[in-house]
Amino acid sequence: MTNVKTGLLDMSDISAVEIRSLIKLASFFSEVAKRPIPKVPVLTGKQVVTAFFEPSTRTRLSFEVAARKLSADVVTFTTATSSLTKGESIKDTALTLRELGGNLLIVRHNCAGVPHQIASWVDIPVINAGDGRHQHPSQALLDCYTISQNFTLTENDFTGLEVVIVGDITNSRVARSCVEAFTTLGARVTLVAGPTLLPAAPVFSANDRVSITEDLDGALATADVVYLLRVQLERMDKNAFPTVREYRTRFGVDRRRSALMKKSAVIMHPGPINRGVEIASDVAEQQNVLIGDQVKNGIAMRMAIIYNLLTSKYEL
Amino acid sequence: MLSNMQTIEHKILLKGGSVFTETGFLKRDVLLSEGKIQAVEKQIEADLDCEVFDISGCVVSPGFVDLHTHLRQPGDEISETLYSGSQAAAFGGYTSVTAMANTDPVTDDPATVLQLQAMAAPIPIKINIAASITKGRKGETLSPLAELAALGVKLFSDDGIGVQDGQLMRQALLYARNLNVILAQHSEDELYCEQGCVNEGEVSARLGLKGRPAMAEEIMLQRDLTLVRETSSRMHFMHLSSANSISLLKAAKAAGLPVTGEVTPHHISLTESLIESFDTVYKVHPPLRTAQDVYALREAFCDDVIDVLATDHAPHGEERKEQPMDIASPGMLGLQTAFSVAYASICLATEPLRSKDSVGKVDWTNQSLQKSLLREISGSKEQKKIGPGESLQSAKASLSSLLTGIINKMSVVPAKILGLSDHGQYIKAGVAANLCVIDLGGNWELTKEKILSNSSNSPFTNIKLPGVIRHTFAYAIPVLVDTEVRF
Repeated sequence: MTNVKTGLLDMSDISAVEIRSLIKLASFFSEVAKRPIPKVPVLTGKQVVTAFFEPSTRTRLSFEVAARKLSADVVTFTTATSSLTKGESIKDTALTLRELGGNLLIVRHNCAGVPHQIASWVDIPVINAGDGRHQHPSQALLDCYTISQNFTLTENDFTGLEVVIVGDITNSRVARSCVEAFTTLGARVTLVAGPTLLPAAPVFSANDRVSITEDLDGALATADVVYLLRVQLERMDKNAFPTVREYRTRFGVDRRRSALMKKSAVIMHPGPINRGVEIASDVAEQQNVLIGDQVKNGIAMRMAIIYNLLTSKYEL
Repeated sequence: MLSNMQTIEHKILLKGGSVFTETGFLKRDVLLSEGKIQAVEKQIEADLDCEVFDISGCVVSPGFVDLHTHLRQPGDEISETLYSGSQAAAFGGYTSVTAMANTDPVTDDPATVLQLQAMAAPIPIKINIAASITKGRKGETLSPLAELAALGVKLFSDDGIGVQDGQLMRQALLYARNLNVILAQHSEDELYCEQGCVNEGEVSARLGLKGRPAMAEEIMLQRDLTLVRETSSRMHFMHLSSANSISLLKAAKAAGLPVTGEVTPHHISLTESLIESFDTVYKVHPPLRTAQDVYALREAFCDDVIDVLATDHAPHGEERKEQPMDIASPGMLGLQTAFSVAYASICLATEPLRSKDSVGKVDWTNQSLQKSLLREISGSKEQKKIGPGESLQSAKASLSSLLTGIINKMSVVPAKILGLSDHGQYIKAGVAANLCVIDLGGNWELTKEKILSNSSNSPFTNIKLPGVIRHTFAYAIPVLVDTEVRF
């Protein structure tokens, strides 16, 4: 986050200290949300552009609400067309959005690296709002914030916390960002997935805070946070698993599995959830499921990120 | 375009260089005229009508012959043309290139071949027109191989994509067996490459990009080696990129199969980690792989498991490169930098490039090695001739024997594969004067302004490169003089 020019592209760009400062700032903005007028006039006159080349509702809305709560103007660019459709190049689109007076670009694309490419073409900060299977840093940061609210921690140190991430790791940008963020803050992460749901190269196990297993029941017993990934049929390789039923049997959390968890443990999910696939409908209604908190905290964390990028005087 | 060229009666004397002969490098003067090398002598005195080139400290090499060039004509002249590509070729020391068939329309019928041959005729660089193995490069039916062979097509390839259907490939090999042509394969089984754009491995896993695994290349190579064994037809394997492919090719050669293998300059110098910059200039098929693969390719180059260095020169306009990684066009320029990159990688053993160095410039030169190579070459003792199959990698492989390997693989061997008698000949009196003059001690850098292609997608632009192609002669006509193209 020190590089105000390029913005927030990769979790690996951010240190533990910076994550903790953002959490602190986000909790301040959560307080703002409780005021009679839940808005601060800090970015009046600034223009935030959301450029979503891949369909998304919640992430885009979350960023736009966050920008408005900071009193920034919001311009929305969405395209229903896939990147394969011929037409204006992403470079020309990005330059156009810049010329429309944007002070900050928030980019989502179904191919890894597009926010990085755009950042190299424009002279304003770029936030990566999800690029293909690569990164989704604002999601990981809001998840860190959500975890910090639910456990008694000193200085947001995650040491001692056990996080279990379940599902299609190889196709998940959320997993890539979250593993990096959680372990940076000190947590241990266990990935629960079979070989077809893991990348071909052992990049995750290179991190000594990460372990991998196919035994979900075993992993649940010691978990503090159970993080379920959405089964993304649109991104998945053919035959990554035989049937949805088999996926549910092996990797879905139902009432039986939920009962294996510690009393203090929580369940998280980046949304939108597939009820009856990765999470049983009745489990999704349980008190320890933090999906609603994640959405709410998403606004506060994105306010913190935008504020940080657009107010150069603010030192983290 | 030929207006400012000298007439062929003009005599040219290359003075003070070391010439590449069958018995190694020899200090000789070379006299060119009437399209031929007239004399190669220890000392030739200049006549009055003789233009003299002082080339002390330089090597006279056969003009390079590229087996694998994309000239984009017809159909994509904005990226490259026969003419612009030939200029880049002359700059790189090439006197002959082979235009791939992935044009629009595909070069798969007599009309297109004849038209291209006619367009190529006035260009001083010899352009061999290749044609596709299958009609439209669709991998469904055979192109009229015999008819096209009769027009002079020597090399057939669907390059850009391999022939996916094994039975069709088998038929192609059988059909072509007695046509005196070579079928060249782009080995990648697309079944394993769906949406893939980079090497499958550590980098693709970290970046979440779909991979094109080395396995896809190896599986098709293995299939084709079996087909060659069964059909007894010749086959050439283009741009091999993985260590396991090398093992497969080595075993096939040991078994006596009539196969040849090729590597590109980029696969022996660049690694997959460059993709981490998300710069699509590094996207190429087959993809850049690991440093371990790079080392294996270099070793195979030195051991003659690899026969040919070919550029896979693939121009793409910015509009096709400034795209998301998954849809950006694969390929990179190669003609202007091929020799220097091979020289750095093989002779000077530079480290494979791992990450885009944004701060300082990358330097692939090595003054002390370059100087000892020059001393070796200009030394009085004649170097031992390296016979085919002899290991250049042996502990005491001299720098000059490594250089010999590069020149052979860039000229003599590809000319033999194509059956060219005027190109890739050792420097001696009587042969066609298609040659280039290399300044081995010189260094240079490919700036954007120096790029002669219609496209600028070179991955070697910010690198200090060793070895300068000073002059190129096509049938004794100077087409490159002091690094300036003359046509």
